[in-house]
Amino acid sequence: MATDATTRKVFHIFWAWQDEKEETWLREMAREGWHLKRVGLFRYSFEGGKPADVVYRVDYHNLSRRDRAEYLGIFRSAGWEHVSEVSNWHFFRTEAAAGADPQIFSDIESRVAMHKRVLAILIVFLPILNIGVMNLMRGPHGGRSAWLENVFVVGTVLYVLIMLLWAYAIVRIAVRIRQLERGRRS
Amino acid sequence: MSTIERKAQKFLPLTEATFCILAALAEPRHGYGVMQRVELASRGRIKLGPGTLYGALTKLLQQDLIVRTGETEEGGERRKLYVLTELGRGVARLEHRRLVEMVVVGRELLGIEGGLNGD
Repeated sequence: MATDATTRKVFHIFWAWQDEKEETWLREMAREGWHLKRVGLFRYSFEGGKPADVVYRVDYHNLSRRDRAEYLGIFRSAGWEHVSEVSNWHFFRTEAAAGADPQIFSDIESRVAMHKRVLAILIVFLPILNIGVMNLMRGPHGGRSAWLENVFVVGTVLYVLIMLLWAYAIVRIAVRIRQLERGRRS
Repeated sequence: MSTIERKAQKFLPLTEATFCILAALAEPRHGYGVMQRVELASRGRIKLGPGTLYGALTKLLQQDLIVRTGETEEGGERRKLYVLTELGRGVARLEHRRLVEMVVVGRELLGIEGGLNGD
């Protein structure tokens, strides 16, 4: 796809409840000649090339190695290229025919099911995250050096922020599911 | 009512996509084969997205409505084959009957005669 070897790295956060926004953003990048190459946690690599109308779609699946080939094979047969993946999010693309809006989900129910898979993972990991930090907090309180005390305070603040974000994500995805079930677009 | 039928009842009603996928798996097919068969049978109206198809296949496997039955290899591509279980067949048949009943009700109440091109 690229005509030259220029690579651009972009800091970007993908919020799971903004899947459509993510897809639109990647399509706009392609229209400007920047084609997605690799997705990192916060770092997206784009390859410079000819501007093209390319449709991007994201799907969420925790795949075993055994199921992976089957999953990718189905998408490939249907005309979708698997571009990259990060923490169970799979990024696909296909050339957009004029006027067409190709989808990987042909009904609302299966799109909702994807968001429910994400929600299930967030909820499952919630207590695990809690247990880890509860152990940390239960540590001995007396006789700590000032340095250790600072580390502890910073750690606690960080933890509270992560938990707030986590809870926020759960709420936003739940809202997204409700919106989809009511037949509204985000 | 048979045991299978009683069990099958709990899965109804199905989504359009789920019904079509089950119906296509009355014979062993691979995932892409299901997409093609459904598109053909619906005269191009129902095009299953790959995300919808894969999600449905994994769910139907979990629900024991379909099973994997080996692999095929065409043009260097290995694909898993799926087919209905006895329960899956029961669910598909029961849903078909429910839909036929709806059509009968529609004909009666709306006064529509004939098939797809009839109105």
